[in-house]
Amino acid sequence: MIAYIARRILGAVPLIVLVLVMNFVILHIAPGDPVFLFMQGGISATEEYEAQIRARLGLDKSLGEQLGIYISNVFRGDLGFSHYYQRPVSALIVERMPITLSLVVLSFLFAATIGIPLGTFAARRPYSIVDQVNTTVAVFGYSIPSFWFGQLLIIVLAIRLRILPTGGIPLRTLGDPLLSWIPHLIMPVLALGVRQLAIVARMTRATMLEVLGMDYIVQARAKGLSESFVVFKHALRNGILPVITVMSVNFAFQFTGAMIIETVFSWPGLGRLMFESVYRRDYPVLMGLLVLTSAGVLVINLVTDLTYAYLDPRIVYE
Amino acid sequence: MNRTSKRTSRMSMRRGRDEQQASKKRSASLSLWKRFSRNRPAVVALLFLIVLSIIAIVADWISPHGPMDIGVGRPFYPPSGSFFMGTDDLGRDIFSGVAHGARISLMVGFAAALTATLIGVVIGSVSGYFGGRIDYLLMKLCELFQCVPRFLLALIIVVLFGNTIWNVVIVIGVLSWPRTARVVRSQFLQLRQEEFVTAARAIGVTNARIIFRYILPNVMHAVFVTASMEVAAAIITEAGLSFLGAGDPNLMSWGRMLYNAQRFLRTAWWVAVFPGSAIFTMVLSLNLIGDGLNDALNPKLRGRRGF
Repeated sequence: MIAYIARRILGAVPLIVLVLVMNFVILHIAPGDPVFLFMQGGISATEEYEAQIRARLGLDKSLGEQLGIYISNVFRGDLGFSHYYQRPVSALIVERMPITLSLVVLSFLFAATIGIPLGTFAARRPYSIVDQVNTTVAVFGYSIPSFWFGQLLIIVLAIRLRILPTGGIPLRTLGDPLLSWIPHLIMPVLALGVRQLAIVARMTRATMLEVLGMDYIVQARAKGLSESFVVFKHALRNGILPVITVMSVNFAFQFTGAMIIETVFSWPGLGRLMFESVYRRDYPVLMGLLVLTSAGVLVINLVTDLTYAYLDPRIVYE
Repeated sequence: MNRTSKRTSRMSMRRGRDEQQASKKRSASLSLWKRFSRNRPAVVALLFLIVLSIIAIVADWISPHGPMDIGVGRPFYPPSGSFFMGTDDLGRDIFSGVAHGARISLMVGFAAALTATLIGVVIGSVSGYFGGRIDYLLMKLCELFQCVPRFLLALIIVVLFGNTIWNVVIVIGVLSWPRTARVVRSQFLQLRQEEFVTAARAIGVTNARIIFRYILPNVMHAVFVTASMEVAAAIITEAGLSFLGAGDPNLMSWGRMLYNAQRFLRTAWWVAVFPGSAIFTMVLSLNLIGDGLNDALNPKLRGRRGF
């Protein structure tokens, strides 16, 4: 098992290096020069000053050299220095990560806690009312753009009905109870989670329909086990595997989706950092965000495979 | 081979078998339409798509004003007789914007999906047909593209390289091929072992001819299903880019209208509601058509996939 994990992590290294090279090349062949960031504000910079800045940012070296330095730094855990903030990129990301990540995690939780039971009940009684609700959620939730759904929620719930705050998130202080966060979380999580909910509900229904028709389920019923035991213990354990796969495949999508949703609800998370960094041409920050997201996808893939082995004892990794 | 590709290949094994049976029938396309037309939501969706396409084509004639024309009415004029979708902060007519936005969305959606499908079909068929080292390398490339956050990279590229509509199309197309490639590859893995391929090889047909003339036609059905989903995905991606202000500044797109609406949600709901409904209707139609196609191609699986 440990050998397997080690092998997977080693196997991910070349992929990460390729991601680094690809992103590095894209950013550096792009027109525009990050040095101009320092030339703003009406200061007529001398060539000397420009060269000084170039040297300080490491931009005076050849592209190959810069790439080599960057890759070796990344593997030592150093993502570089933000041109704009003059602070380490890792610190900037770590600061904002909890906001974005909590949005992602909560949206997955929302999708799973509603989607899995809904899909299961729909599969138990195909073409019933529950099934039709399931189908409707699956069709509409999959097609609605999350940022527009967020806007609609703001218009209806915050502006018309005035039951929720329009956006923002209160920065937590020590005396602040966690409960006061909840009203701020409802709309963003709903907006981000509805697509995931649609996917989960649809997948759960499809796989459960297949699993519930299998011989071992008939046998479990014949044995006289209670219906809920059969459905939730025997069937769901198998039926949930593809659902987990789909959720893990959607991680990167959900992560960038969270960045857009942050814009709708004006949250100060990674979305804003990315957005501002693109326009400031703050390459180290952009590289850091791309690398971390890609690495996150690889980690999630590994965790998914391990979850498989845990849920299905027939799967053994050596 | 990793977990995802195993899954797709298992799913398409079923698909592949059904398709071969279907292609044996003479009037395959006629019966396909018959089966598709039995799916009422899909037919309604097709009608919606046709209507939206017509609106896109005749946008110039049915729009009372230019989509970018400022001050054709009082700012924030609510929906009424003269501006039936209202006006925005600069007094631009929302309806004219929505009608012209249909053009951008359809254009970007279809052009990007076409790019992605072309790349995906070539890579998928080469990968599945030859197998071995080429397959390994191409699938690694696939994995690379799938672990990169697509939207993030698209945003960065579009902003840095210039936010013209063609850049948006190319970026979305080039970043979206892996799904098609995987589907095509798994189909090729199945079909290359069929007798008609062995027979073709025996009489000395070239590899290229076998790929494009013998196997590919049998795979096209699956390609159409993924392509319809790719169009929907591309439309949402484009809207997302424009929503973050990275759309083409010279064109009025639905995403851009929502970007503009974000600041005025409190004052004018109509600025957000109409363009958003347009995106939603378009994407919903495309997804329903994709599902209808999928059901029509796999009658045995009907109802199994959800809707």
